[in-house]
Amino acid sequence: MSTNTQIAGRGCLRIAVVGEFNSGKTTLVNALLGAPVLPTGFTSHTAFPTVVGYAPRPRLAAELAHRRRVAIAWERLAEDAPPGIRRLHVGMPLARLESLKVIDTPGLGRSVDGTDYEVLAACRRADAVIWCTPAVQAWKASEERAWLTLPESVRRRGILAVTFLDAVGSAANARRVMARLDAEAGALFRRVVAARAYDDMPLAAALDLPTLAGACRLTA
Amino acid sequence: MGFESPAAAGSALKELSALTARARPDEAIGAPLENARLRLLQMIDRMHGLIGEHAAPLLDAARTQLEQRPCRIAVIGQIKAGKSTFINALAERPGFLPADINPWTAVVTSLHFRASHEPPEHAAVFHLFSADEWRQLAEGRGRLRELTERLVPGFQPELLRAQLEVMRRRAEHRLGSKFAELLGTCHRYKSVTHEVLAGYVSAGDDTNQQRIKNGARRHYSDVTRSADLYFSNSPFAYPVTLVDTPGTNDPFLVRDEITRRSLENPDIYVFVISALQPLSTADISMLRLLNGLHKDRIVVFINRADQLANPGVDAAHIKTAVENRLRLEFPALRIPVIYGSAWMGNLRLQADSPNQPAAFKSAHAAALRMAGLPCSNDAAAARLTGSDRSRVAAVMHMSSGMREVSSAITRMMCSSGIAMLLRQIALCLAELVRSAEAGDRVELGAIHERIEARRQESSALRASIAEERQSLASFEARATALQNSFKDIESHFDKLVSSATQMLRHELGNMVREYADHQADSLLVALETDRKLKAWRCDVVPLREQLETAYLTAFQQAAADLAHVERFLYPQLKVIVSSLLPGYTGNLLEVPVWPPGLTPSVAPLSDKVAVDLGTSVWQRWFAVRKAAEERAAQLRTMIEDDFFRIADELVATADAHLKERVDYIMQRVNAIATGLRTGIERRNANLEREQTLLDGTADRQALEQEQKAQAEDCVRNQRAHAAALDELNGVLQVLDAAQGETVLQ
Repeated sequence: MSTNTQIAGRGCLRIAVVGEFNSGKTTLVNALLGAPVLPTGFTSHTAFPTVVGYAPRPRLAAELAHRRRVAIAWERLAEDAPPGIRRLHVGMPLARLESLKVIDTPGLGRSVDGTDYEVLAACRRADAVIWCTPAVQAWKASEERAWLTLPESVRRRGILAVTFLDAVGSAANARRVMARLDAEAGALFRRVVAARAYDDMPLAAALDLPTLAGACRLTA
Repeated sequence: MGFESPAAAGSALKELSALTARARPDEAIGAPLENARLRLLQMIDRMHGLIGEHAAPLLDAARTQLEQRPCRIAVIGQIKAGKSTFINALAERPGFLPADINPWTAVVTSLHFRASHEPPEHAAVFHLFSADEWRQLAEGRGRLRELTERLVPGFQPELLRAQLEVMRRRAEHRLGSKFAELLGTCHRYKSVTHEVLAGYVSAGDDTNQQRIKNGARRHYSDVTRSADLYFSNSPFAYPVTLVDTPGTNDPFLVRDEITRRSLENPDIYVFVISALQPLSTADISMLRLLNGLHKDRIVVFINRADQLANPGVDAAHIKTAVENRLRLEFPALRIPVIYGSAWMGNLRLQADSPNQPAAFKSAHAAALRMAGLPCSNDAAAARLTGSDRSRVAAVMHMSSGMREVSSAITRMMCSSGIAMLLRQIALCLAELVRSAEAGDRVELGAIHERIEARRQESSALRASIAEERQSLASFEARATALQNSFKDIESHFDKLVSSATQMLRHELGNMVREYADHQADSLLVALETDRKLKAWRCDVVPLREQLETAYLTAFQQAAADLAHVERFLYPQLKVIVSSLLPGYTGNLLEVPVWPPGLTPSVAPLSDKVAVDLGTSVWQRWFAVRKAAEERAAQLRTMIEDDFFRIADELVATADAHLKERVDYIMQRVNAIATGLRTGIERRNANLEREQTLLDGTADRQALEQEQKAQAEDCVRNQRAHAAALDELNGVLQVLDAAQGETVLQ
């Protein structure tokens, strides 16, 4: 079991999913994986960075100090999370995860001491960064400021994913939002994509993962 | 109708009726205050006839304030939080301000709702920036900028300038060669249409450049400073001005800057946040900014609750979370938090319209779900009967949260500057009436005395007139001296206030300096013991507490000094006035009791300062190599800069409070002086008549009749004054009751 993950882990493409809180990060991670791996909702697990990787059987572990890991249940996390958790590790037997690791991050902009700094540091370590911005209130100054604190080398690996695009009402509205984001934020990302209709269209295709992986390998 | 089963539908409808029945009848915003305002206006009309010309300027000033000072309610929030939609729902004008998916409002728009039903001369007035303002905007001077730079992380004046340049070029492009001529002008319209609004208020899509170029319509929004829209039909009881602001946290900083500039004036702020991302760092920064400006009348509205997956449960959770966070951040403020949906607030207004939007149907289900009633998504709303429909509209109204917002605003108004203004006017009018009443009594006595004297001998009458004249002359001299001494008293008060604030500034400054020195020294010592020191924390709580105690003590001392002078002043006044007007009972001459609520705000103390910043910031600070001395010096400057500013703000607050109090004392004192003058002049006139009669040049009978008539007038006036006092006491009671309710809630 452990050899399997390690092998899978080594050549893995690491994708960090970031954004302000409630910007649809977890939903996007699930779409990316094509399965409801992480629970969504308001009392969310994403108080901690969550690393999703391959495992032959579903499992959840909390990483404590000195990289010590203990098994834990989702319910426990929601009710009373033990102190000192540094990140969560989720393992799933999904084919897609054999070449991919996804890191779901705590939402930015909640002004919890130090978290934002940690999240942005996680971006530097990832091969690709997906920044989620909810269509209804897309690309606020606070998002722009946070993104601009990252070095350009990281921003070149960035994708701006516009989430909850269904909430804007009409297709015409969606086009106008996308047009504005292209104009205002296009230059700061590798590309701007609409992340809607998770059920109809695998997001992996929408995000053009093979190309992305190729591009990232080239830069790496 | 879309419920899971007929039985469930039946019970749900029953529950729905119970819900709507339980609700109190709607009360338009500011109703209790409007009652007081109208009564005061009527009273001013009455008093113009009752009280001499001397009071006319005072009465006119009061009338102007009552007529022209609306309650200003600003609606603020981040971009796309739903501010315009909220205003449409609050103003009961669905669809009036267009809500767009991209930021729309680029201009501060004021919607003026007056109490009068006369149609305004112009329905819309748009002011364009003057060339000076246009420049100033780019340089961004002023207190707000300063606060902004401190409170908003990473505020970038450079970027602002660059964006302004983009805006300027776009404006030139859109408006052509006339651009420069347009600056400083003002455009007026007899009626407001969507096209007119869009031309001035909409930011416009940059992506639509082509269409704008070819389009016939001019686009003025880039150079529009403010839009004022006037309405003759008001959904509010009290005159209200609603201010729609461009959203904050806009990557286009120019719009952000404009919003921050519109925050200084309003009485009440409605802070609209999105239920989907409630109370982010940017929201907190905004609240801190308001707090720093001593604006503590804030209602938080959590909008877009209809977009939550499970509105009934999630919205309540979010509300609790927001309340807890606010209590933590602003322990001194009591901010009501209300959740709802402005979208639904608009829909309920369209429930009865024949061409109701299609959205209404799905909103039925959403409204019922928010009210916690079982209902499936695809409510077959078409089958609703008329009465069901109005009941659903009532539930929507409740779920929209707009009712609660209205009553929260009314409660805040009842303890706001508006209520204070009404109270001051009522008290001032009462003083005028009381002094006039005392004057009447004296006049009546004098008339009777002379009628009596005339019945006896002319020598007695002559003696009586001479006596009266003498006493009047001496009183007049004293009254004049009194009025002159008011100026001295005022300057004495001013000196008292300025020396108190100077001392306070000095004291607070010393505290900050001492603390900064101490911290810098300890850091130096720590660095000497451990060259590799990587962590440091300043606990500024003791300093804050020290400042607060010193500040409040000094303020109370200054207030006590003022009260001391007052205690000395009023008995003297009382002697003079009661010798002039025997039987004067105005409570002006009692030393006023200052309500304890008048202690000044300590809001600046809760400002975030650099040394409050989180550990990560400190780590970065230590990451940069520096000599120990340099580091200590830097720490000292960091503490001093922030806290000197805070001390300055505290001093300014105290100064404003004390000055306000002096103004109030002078207003009361001047009101009584006005009354005295009136009485003196009337009695002088009477004496003149008596004298001419005595000299034998006047018709005795005519004079006697006139005197009789005057005496009757006096009696009538006395009655009218008593009635006026009753009425004014009634108004004060209304104001007290309204404020009392606020305190209870």
